[in-house]
Amino acid sequence: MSVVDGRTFQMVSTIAVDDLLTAITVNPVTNRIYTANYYPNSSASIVDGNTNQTITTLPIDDQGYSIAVNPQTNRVYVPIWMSNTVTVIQD
Amino acid sequence: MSNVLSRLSRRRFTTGLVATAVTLSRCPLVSAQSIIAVIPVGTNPFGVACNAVTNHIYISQGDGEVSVIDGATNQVMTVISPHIGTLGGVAVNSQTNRIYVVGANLGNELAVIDGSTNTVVAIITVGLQPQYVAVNQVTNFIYAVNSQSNRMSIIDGSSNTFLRTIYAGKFPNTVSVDQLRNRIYTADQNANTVGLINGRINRLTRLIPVSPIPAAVAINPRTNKVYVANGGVLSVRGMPPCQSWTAERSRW
Repeated sequence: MSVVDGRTFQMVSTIAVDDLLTAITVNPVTNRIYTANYYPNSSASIVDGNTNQTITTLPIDDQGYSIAVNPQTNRVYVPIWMSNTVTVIQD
Repeated sequence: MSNVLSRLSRRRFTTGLVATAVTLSRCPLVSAQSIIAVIPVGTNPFGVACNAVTNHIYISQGDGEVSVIDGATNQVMTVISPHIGTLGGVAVNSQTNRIYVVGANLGNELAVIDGSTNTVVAIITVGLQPQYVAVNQVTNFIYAVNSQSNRMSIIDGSSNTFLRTIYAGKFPNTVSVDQLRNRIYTADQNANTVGLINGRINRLTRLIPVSPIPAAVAINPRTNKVYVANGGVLSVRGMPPCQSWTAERSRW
């Protein structure tokens, strides 16, 4: 994952999450970042935006092409194309 | 003797209290960050968006339908059929309770759904093959990336009119909005850049170099940090993702 500073328009750091990512979203209230990953495994990661550290990576059924968070409930949603399901993660 | 017993029982009591406290404090850690539900929806769910006000979650699918999930019960409440072909991404304006979904594949349409009635209220013709979509809830402008043609469609949500397309970098795969600063960011997958569009003039003003294959972008407006998912997704909508996934993986 790349991090760009919106003031300087420069990439300021990279965060090790998983090898290949497809989707990303942020909860601005908690400053947590959520990613959908597909290689080496299909998974979803939770990253702490204050420390730039990955908190946890949870396995999911298959690849997700989108990810969204409800900042009110802290629930994260990942639609899984191949399995015709939506995975719900409680953070 | 009674003093000794009293001291012993007090010690046990105290120890018991400590043990209880430890167990309690561990509980939230054990239960944190877990998958709480796997909800069956329609065929090939692709996009997702949340309305934080209503706690409704919208899933855009390859079969052309939108499943609406009640976030309180984790059940599909209803299914909406916009009839604009295979669907790409979806976005919600929680202020107006309007949902925007794009017809990807070979289409060039954007459907507007009224979240209070779950009906399609408008179909807007936009640029070709819109892949993902984002909303600025402050200005009520909608942005859909036309990845194949390196452009982005701009739609005025107050009048449901398509304004124009603008250049948005090489293969702008996804789009995200910083509502505080009226900035739009695109993940330009084929150029290893993030495109920055000034929402006031609707023009690309910067191409910011990032790590290889930026697939998606998200912003925290509070910290003014932009996060980029590097890895890449399928480049042709309508193709089964597993084929594209295998092809992409073989490159690595």
